[in-house]
This record gives sequence, C-alpha cells and structure tokens, in this order.
Amino acid sequence: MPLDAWKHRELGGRVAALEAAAKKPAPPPQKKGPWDVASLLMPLMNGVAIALVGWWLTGAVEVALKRDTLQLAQVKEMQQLIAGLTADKLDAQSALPMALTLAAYGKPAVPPLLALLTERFDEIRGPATESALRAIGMSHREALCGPLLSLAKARAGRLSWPVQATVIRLLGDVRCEEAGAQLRAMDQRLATLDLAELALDYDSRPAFDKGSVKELRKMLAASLRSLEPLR
Amino acid sequence: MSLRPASLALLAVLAAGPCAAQMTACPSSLGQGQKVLVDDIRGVESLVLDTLRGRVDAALAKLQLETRAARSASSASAPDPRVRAVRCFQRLPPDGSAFDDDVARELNAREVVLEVWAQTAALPPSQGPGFRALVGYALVPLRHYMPASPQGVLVIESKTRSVDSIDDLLALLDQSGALAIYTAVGSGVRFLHIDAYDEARTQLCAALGRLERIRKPSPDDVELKEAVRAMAQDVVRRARADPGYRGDMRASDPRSCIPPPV
Repeated sequence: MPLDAWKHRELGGRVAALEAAAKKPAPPPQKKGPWDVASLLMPLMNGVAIALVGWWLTGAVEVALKRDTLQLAQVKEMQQLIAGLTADKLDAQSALPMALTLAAYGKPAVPPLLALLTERFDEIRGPATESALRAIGMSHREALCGPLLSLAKARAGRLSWPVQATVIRLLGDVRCEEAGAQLRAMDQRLATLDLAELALDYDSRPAFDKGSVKELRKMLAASLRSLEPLR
Repeated sequence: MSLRPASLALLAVLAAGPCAAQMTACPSSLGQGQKVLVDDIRGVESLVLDTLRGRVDAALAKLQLETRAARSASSASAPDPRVRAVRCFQRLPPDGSAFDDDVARELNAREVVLEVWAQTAALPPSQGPGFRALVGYALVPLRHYMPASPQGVLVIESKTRSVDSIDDLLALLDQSGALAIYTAVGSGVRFLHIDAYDEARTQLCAALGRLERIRKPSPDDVELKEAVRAMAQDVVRRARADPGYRGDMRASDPRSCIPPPV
C-alpha cells in the first residue's frame, strides 16, 4: 500500500497547507476616504436632493397658485365695492363703510383707492377714500408712502388742489418719514411763488386762490409737525 | 347746529317717508365763483326745482346789485362778488349732521357759501290743511372756519299753506329774507379768510343790516346777528394788521357799518 500511503500523505500535506493559509490573519481592509464615502452616498443624496427640490417647487407653485386665486377672488370681491364707490348716486352714509371695507383688503386696495382719490374726488368720495387710505397706511405704510409721495410731486395741472391737500394730510397721518423734505419744499414754494404761477400746478376746478394757499400751508404745517420725532 | 325737539320729531317722520334723504355728491358745485347750492325738496318735482333755482339765482343777482350800489358810495374800486345758485340733483341731506368737518372743508374749497334744502310733510287733518316744513341752511364757510359756531348749520321749522307753486317754494326757502342774509354771511366769511377785506366787510355789513331789519327775530337770528357784528369788526382789525392792505379800512371806524338801533 505504498501508493495509498503516498496519497494519504500528499492529501494531508495539502490540507495542512490549506489550513495554514486559512489560519494566516487576513490583511487589514484598506481605509476608505471621504470621496469613497461620498461616492457611496451619492445616489442616496441625489435622491434626497431631488425629493427636497420637488417638495419645495411643489410648495412654491402651490403657494403662488393659491395667492393668485386669492388675489383673483379679492379682485372679484373688491369689484362690487369699487363699482359702488364710483357710482354717481353714492350716498355719504354708504360711502365710508364701503371704502373702509375696501381698506380691509389691505395692499391690493391701495391702487383702486388712489384712483378714486385722483379721478373721482368730490365732497362725498374724497373724505371716505382718505379714511380708507389712512386705515391701510396704519398697517401697510410701505405700500402707501411711495405712491403718495409721487402724487405730492405731481405738478402737471391734472390734480385739483383739494386732492393735493388730501395727499399732504395722508403723508402726515401715515407718518411717511421720507416725505419730510418734499413737504418742506412744497411749503417753500407756496410761500414764495405768486398765485398765478402756483395755479398752474393744479386743475382749474375748483379755483386756486389765496384761500387755497392758506389751506395747503395749514395742512403742510400739520403734517410736518406729525413727522417730527416726539420730544 | 340749531334744532329744537319738535323739529327732531318731524325729522323722524320725514326720514321714514318714501323718498329717503341722501347726501350725494353735487358735481355742479365745481363751477367757478361763489355759489349757493339748491338741493332737492321732498315731494317737489325736479323740473319745478330747476325753475326754483332760476328764481333763487335771479334773487341773488338782484341782491348783489343792491350790495354793489350801496358799496359804490364808499368805494368805487370794489369787485363784484357774484354768487350764483346751482342745483344739486338727487341731494337731500338727512339733517345738519351731514355737514361734518370733512364735507364742510370740501364744499368750502369749491367756494360754496350756502347750501339750502327742505323737507315737507302734509299737516295731520286735525291741524287743518297745509304743510309743515324743515328748511336747512348750511353756511359752509362759517361751518368750516368756525366749526364751534352753532350758526354753521341752521334748520328752521315752519308751516306753509302750500308747496305747489314756485312762489310758495321760494317763500319757504326765503323766510324773513333768510337766503339773502345767509348768503351774505357765507360770502363775507369766505372773503375774510382769503384776505379780501373790503368784500368781506361789504357782505357782512349787508347781512348785519338785514338781520337788524327782521321784525320778530328768532333766538337763532339774534345769535347770528351778534356773531356777524363781531366778524364785521374783526375784518377791520385784520385789515389794519395786514401790511399789504391798502384799502379804506385803514382809517375807518370798526363800528362804522353797524346801523343805528331801531
């Protein structure tokens, strides 16, 4: 049985070699760098980023759509009030509640109210519109001061002097601090220029006279006083 | 505003009537010059009111001529402060409170010196035929420049046999020469506040003269007379204090326009 013994020995040797190899400690795994981690996480991060952007975009679009829908609904709701305020037979008793309801819409009500002030001013609409704009200015000063300041600078003869007086009162009541210089310049102009020259700044109806200058200067003094810091 | 309790009761009855009072805008008030606004009269047709406006306008023109003639004796350089009557369609103030500070300010800016309106109601059968009326006068410049003055808005209650003819209506609005007096007061106050001292003095003195001639003055008339007298004197003081004034009042007696006691 020398052959069997040889095979046996041969197999034993091989097994021993295999066992020795198995017992040898495996070389420590090579450490992974941040790039390896990043490349491993990249697919996951991509997924998360896409999900986040998708969520943000959906939210933003949804908010914009809702805002547009709300604005459209507001415009439709405001339309009735605006129609009421521009009606020929507007009564003093209903003018103020209508204008104040319009004011409750906040910033979106500023343009129609300013249009009423400049284009449909009379003894009924004027005071109602002024109250509404004052109410908006209390909470949204920034939405009102810019347009009012533009109106205060108007000298093309399209606005009547009572409209200008209303603008001056509003600038003071809403405390548009950036209007101080403009109001002082207006007062200087009224104090120095002659009546005929000043009259060119305003619509010819109602007539601009010495009484108008006095009224405007009275309004300017009051508004400038309200713009001064409290002592 | 001057209004008695009985008038308030009548006002309540009138306010509940079929044609509700409403204070709408008066676009015709935008015209040039001083003006008297003639509002609706409850129960009177618009065409009739147009004619009434014409009559009021003619009466105002006549008064202006008289005032001018009286003034020309002392100063020939006086301008002619013509006051015109203007009709306000579908405007009927519910009461004097419609003329709040804001409305008075805007009407004053439009050179409105007086606004007149009326509400009438048939007398109950127990009181015989005829009508009770509330006639309102808003002396706009007085209401604007002197908001505390009770004469700024006056509401007068009266009885009338008829409101069918223009003459009846004119008599209703112009009781004791009210239209002439109140127009002169409004015009005078407005002139005073635009530093037109001579015109202010002329108008206030004309009003004072007419108030002095009322045979049975009401408490309102007496109060108004004293207020006008004080303003007429104030005109002279202001004119003298104004360095730009070059008129006759620099040397005149402040009491010069006051007529002698009757």
